[in-house]
Amino acid sequence: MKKSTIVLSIILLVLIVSAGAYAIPSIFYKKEKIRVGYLTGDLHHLALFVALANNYFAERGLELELYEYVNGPTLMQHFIAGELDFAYVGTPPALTARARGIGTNNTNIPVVIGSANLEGSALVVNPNIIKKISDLNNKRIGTPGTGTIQDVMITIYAKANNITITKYPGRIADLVLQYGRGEIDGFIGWEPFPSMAIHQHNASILLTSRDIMPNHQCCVLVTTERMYNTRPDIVERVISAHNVAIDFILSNPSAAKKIAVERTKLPEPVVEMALSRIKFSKTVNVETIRTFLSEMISLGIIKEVDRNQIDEFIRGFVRIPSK
Amino acid sequence: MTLVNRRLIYSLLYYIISIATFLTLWEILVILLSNPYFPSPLSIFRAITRIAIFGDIDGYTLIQHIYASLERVMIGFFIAVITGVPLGLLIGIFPIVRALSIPVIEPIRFIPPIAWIPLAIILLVGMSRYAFIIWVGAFFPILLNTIAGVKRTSITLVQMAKTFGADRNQIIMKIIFPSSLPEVMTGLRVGLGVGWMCIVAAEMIGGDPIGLGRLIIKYANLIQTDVVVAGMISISLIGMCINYMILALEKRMFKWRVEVTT
Amino acid sequence: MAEDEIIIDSISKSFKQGSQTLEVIKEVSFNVSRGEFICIVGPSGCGKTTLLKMICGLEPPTLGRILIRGNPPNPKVHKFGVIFQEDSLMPWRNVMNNIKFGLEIRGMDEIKAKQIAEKYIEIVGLKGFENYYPHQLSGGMKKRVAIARALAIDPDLILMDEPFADLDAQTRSFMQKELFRIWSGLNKTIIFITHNVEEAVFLAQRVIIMTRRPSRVKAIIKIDLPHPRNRLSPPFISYREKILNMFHEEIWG
Ligand SMILES: Nc1ncnc2c1ncn2[C@@H]1O[C@H](COP(=O)(O)OP(=O)(O)OP(=O)(O)O)[C@@H](O)[C@H]1O
Ligand SMILES: [Mg+2]
Repeated sequence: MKKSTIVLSIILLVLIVSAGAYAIPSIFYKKEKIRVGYLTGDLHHLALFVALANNYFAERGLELELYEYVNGPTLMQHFIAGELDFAYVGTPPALTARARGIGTNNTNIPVVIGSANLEGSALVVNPNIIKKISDLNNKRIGTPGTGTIQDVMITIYAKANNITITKYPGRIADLVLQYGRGEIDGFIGWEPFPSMAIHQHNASILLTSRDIMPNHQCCVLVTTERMYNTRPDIVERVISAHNVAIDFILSNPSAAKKIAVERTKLPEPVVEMALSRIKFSKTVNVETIRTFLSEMISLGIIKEVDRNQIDEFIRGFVRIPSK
Repeated sequence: MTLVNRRLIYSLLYYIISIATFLTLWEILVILLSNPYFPSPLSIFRAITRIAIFGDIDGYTLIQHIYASLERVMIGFFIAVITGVPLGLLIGIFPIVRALSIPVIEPIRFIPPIAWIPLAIILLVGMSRYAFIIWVGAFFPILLNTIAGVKRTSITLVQMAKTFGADRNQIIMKIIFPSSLPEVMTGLRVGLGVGWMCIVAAEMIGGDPIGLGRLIIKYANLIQTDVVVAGMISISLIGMCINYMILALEKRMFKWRVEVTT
Repeated sequence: MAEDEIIIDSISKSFKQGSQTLEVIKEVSFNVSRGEFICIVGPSGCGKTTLLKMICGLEPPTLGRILIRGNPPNPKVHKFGVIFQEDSLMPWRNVMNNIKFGLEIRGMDEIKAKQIAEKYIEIVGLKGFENYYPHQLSGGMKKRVAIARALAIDPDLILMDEPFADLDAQTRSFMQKELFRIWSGLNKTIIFITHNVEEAVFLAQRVIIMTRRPSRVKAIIKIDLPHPRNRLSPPFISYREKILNMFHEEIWG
């Protein structure tokens, strides 16, 4: 055997082995492209960022096209129009979208297949103006938009406590800015924006979403009814990547924090404070979803679901495949 | 007399037929598509009455939304008038003002009002933000039409005034201004129309909870398209009303003009 | 000879049109006495309107000078009543307010201005049309409004640029007689431009005939006929023929 032949065979062998090693996880999967929606700078969606950073999707043969939206309701409008296959989104917008589409031939209505986080929103206010809950009366409070989880929760809270607030709906990034200029007296939003207001503008926390509803389901991972029914294989791969990511966050908090800092480009203390208020959990808190639905029916946001249909609706809405 | 009456009746009849046909076709389309997000005329009508009487999800009624939007437009429009008309007159009359201002004004003119919104959100607060956006939209039609009006002034009339010993002020006030008034009014009408369209876009970005633009976004977020379209129709009807009111004013003011553009 | 109201002292006028210079009037000189009625005739485009605009101070002469009562023409000093060749009514003002315009500029109070305007509306025969807007008037009516407006300020000098060109024969003849009556009653100085030689002979004390461009004074003819003049009388006809011949020389060369 010639020397050159040996060298060539060795090179070839190395190439094949390394390619194989690299491709082993994905070799079992057919490559799939999926469209995934998420919200602007939302740390509730850390599982998505971790899964991307750690190649959990790629390992499962999934190639992601990412789409960013200013809030959950906006995301859901695109979702039910069929522009997305999966999304990280707050529970109330997903409930609204499903309620509006149930009983129609729309196959893009959302199905919850995982939990992104519990809690994780906060109402920050100007401590000079608002010191206690009753001070909220007739104050201008920003929300990330009508129908967002924060908007729904502050409405529920205001109603329960008999206070009237003037809601200033806007884009979450603008809320921090408007708060800094005194245009609004406070705002309720998803982390890390409340923490940003605390660090940048000396805002203080009046209420966290935990205070309003302990352990409430916040963001969920949803897919379309069609994807759920026709491509259970893909759905399963996404859930698996997502769950591995949540496990990673729970077991490697500092590594997860690094990913969050990279993603948001925010100072570490801000991210740290933000993460301290978010409960990452793989288990969906179905009971609080039921509460949300019932409250949203009372508020007139959801009109399509009757009170006695709540259980049935929730069964259709939360359908984690058992495996 | 009877001829006029008959004409009126016919045009009214066509009007009704046109609207009725449109609504019927729409209703048929709704049935054919059976898309839950495609609202029917009836559901929109119900939405309008509901919002008008009981208010929206935050309790604000249709009138409050309309009033908020109108107030914003009027403030911005007023500023556009008091800046656009005098500047237009100055530019039209004095070549030096034109030479000095056009190099700056001309490039700014091609920035659409919507493109200013992000900057306005960062730099301005509350009403001033809306006023600014409306101003950007209304200012240029007013300015350009005023300049065109000045340019249209007959030289013979200026010379006539001069031979009577009129000074520059008198020529501006008694000849140039009244002569360009029809164009100025056209500018106001177009400017107000553009301003009205801008306000909706400005309100959609965020801030106050009231305004027709905000109403639309609220209900788009709740995926209740009947209210969304109800908001759109309110915008259209009010825009039309404003336009016709100014047109009527123009007709009254300029009866000396043989025709008024419609 | 009465004192000289207007001295036109070898004036020339040229217009610059890009690199080209158009010589319109060349070394024109003549004097006008106070109270005199002068008609100027000349081929179209020879510069009659230009001359008139120079006399009322709207255009400066390129060379030479014009003196009116010893001063260069200035509408703020001299009272000019100018009737332009083109329509010069303000379309946004009705007949009454158009006629009041000159008085308004001169700062006269409303009531007095209205009285004067009413008087001249009557003189030009537009009673009942006070509230009409120019677009509702005929060409001749518009001219009469312009005349009333010019007369209303009680001008020292009336400058008329083909004022009767748009009128039908009857009205024209009527207006000529009216103008003559006004002139003889008020003893105003009038410079009257026309294409119509017969009109010039009928009205003027002196007729100035202009040459083709660059325009000079071809001749100044004194019309020595008593008023009222008879258009069919032999001396009238002979004046008319004489001026017409000179006129045609200029047109046909
Ligand atoms: N402002 C101007 N700029 C350039 N050229 C001019 C100007 N005003 C007049 N002219 C020229 O001067 C010449 C004389 O014009 P003018 O109006 O005085 O003639 P006119 O004798 O009144 O003619 P018509 O009898 O037809 O009214 C014309 O050739 C005209 O083109
Ligand atoms: Mg002329």
